[in-house]
Amino acid sequence: MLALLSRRAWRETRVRFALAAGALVVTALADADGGTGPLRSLFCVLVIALAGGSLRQERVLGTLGFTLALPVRRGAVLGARAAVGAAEVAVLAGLVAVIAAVRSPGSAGQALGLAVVWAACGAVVLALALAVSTLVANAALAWLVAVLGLLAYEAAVTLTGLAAYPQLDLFHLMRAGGDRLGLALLGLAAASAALLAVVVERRSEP
Amino acid sequence: MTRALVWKAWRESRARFLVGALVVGGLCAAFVGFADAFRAHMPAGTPYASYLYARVYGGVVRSIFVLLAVVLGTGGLAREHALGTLGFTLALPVPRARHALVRAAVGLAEIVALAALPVLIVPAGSALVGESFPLGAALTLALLWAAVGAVLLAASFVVAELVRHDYLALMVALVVVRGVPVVLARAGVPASLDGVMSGRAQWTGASGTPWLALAGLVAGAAGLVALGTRATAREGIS
Repeated sequence: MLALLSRRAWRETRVRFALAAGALVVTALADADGGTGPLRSLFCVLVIALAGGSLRQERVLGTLGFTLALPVRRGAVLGARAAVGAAEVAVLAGLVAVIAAVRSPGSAGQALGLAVVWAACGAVVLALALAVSTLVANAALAWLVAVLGLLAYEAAVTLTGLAAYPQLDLFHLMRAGGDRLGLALLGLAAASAALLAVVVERRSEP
Repeated sequence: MTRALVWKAWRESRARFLVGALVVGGLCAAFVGFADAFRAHMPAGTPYASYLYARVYGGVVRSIFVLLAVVLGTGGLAREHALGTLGFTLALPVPRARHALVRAAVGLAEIVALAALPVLIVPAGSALVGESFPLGAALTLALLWAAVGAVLLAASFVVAELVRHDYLALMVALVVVRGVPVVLARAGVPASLDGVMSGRAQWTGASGTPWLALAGLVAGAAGLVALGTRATAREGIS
């Protein structure tokens, strides 16, 4: 059943994934500064759009009854969606790393490091967007709330006293490559946000 | 009936607009109210007006405004088809084009209101805290924001009239709005809407209000709205 849920999640997001991949590739190739500034922000807003979709939003679309008729827990539905989303984000991060490696040849280790850091940062953003989509039924509003949340976080870690701790800054990690502490924080943040999403989804009674 | 359509469009978009207004207004107020704390993270000796310009008109508030313009343009009959409410809407005794036009008009009014928020908050708030920000520059920048926002909203409006799924429509609109200028710049065509919105030439006094560019942007937005309306009127959704 989990394989079926994963296939369903893939079917629901594959057009968005293909569009995101195409946009990132074109932007990375066209970006004059080597695929950093605009590419980072585009990556994050596309990941948020990729993550959208929850039982609460299915209710609005009128398909909730079919989904809940499946003999699985609500957490499994969201878990499959999160897993497929994380895999898609990892592929997108890999694409960016390949293009960066082609444009400015370095070691394979550097490209791999870039892909890992972008995938980890993308996973945090994905978890945030999933958590928001379990709380907000309107898709556009959910996307907006997630993006504004990300921007508010970014403003907090760059414009306040938190600027002294660059390990907390996702965009800094994506630019600088990150370190062990940063990756550990990212892992914790992703796990806690995903957990929040599962808990909210399982307790909700749409 | 048009009044009822305006009310419907407002009800459908008011949550997005109010969230956006709250964030834009709140950030402007925060940058004015806590200027000392935020300026501490800028190069020493940065003048107050330059600090506000960098934070509001060249930084995070501008980025948020661009995203709000895209989000406010979503919706429409294609989305209603996906939601299953299209039948109720089409039962109203008005042509489809009017649905689209009214939605675009409400969206444009919301964009103008969002662009005007910094003008209302930044100069007045600065005066309250004993500083000053030039009102004329704020008005010129608001005009630029409104014109560019209208183009972004109109582009998103066209996409929303063609794509049924909310997230997909958002994604296509984002790719068009963020990706196309990058590609055009690479091809040597200056199409940076961010650059126009920043109004650097107007801020430094290198040039006055760019009325010709504003007229071009308004004409572009009108053309896109006409395109979206025509697509709605011709589409066979029912």
